[in-house]
Amino acid sequence: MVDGEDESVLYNDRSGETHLLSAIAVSLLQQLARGPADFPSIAAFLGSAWEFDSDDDLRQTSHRLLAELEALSLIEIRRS
Amino acid sequence: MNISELSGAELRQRLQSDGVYFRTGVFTACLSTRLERVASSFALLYADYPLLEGPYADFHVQVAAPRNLRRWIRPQVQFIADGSSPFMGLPRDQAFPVLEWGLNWCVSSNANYYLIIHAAVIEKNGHAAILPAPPGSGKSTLCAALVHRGWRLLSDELALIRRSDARLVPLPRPVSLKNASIPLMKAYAPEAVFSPSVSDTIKGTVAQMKAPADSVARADETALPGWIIFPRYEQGAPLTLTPVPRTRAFMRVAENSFNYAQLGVEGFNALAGVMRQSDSYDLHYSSLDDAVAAFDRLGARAGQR
Repeated sequence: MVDGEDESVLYNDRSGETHLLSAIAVSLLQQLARGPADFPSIAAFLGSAWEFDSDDDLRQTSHRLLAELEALSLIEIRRS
Repeated sequence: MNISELSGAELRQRLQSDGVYFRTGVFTACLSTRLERVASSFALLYADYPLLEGPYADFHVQVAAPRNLRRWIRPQVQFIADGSSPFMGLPRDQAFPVLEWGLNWCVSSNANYYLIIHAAVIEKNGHAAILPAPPGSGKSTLCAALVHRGWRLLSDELALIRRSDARLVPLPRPVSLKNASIPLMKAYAPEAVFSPSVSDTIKGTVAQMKAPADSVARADETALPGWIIFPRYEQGAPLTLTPVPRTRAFMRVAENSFNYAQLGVEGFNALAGVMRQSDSYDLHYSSLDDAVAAFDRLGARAGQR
């Protein structure tokens, strides 16, 4: 990973793709690298590590980040 | 022994028979041709390059008339590398540019032990400035100016990054100029040596400027990364040198690479090594003197990070 002030460049060795990610996305990836988590845990982590305007903002950002990381094949979401 | 130490007759005899083996940086090439316009420009622009004995070469290349009607009718030339013709034929008067474009193709297509960026590279105080840029940005003109104002030429076209330690490996060859840059550089560097200009190429009018002898002599000296400069010429624009975040610069440099994707994680690690040691800037300029002065200010601080 190559870190900058607000972003990082990450190499995905599964896909061979290189991604420019925001700091918040990287922090979520690093959190998920510790082990799988459900949505409430993810939102709780993001809420504790970053500032949000409201609970609604936190929830929407959490969903958006997860969708973006899944689209980049950086995470897998298991839907029950 | 350098190529200049061969007599004109001897050079041409070798070009027309077993070929002339010569070194450009880390590569050995063997050139064969019966075309006088190639021989004369080669003798002029490659005079300072080490002459070697065969039979080994990284690339065996020929510039030759094709074996079809185009040998005589609207005559063309072909570039042949190791027995294959990777390009269509081009008009015969473009024979020397064809050699230069062909040699660039040989390196960019084959030298995958390096991470290769489409960029000019120059050096001052042991540190390299890499100038990645699409055609038309003024990269080659700026490179040509800088190497006549105290910077060493590593390459005007291909940045070779050593995967093991991210050092820049020289490939000093003639600097390709086009259109208005040709008379501009002839005025800016009256001591420089140029090939004859060739018109009506796909890039317009082109000419090659001889690499400074010192740059050729120091082709074994690698350089540490120092700066990534994205140049853009804009007529009449004041000089601006704007920092670019390392992460953004990384992505832009990767986009200008011939083989970044192909190298996988090793390409990423090599480029990461370069970017961690470099400061990155966007440079907009209209005056070569102003741009050179900006580079000199950076060069004076080489190694101070």
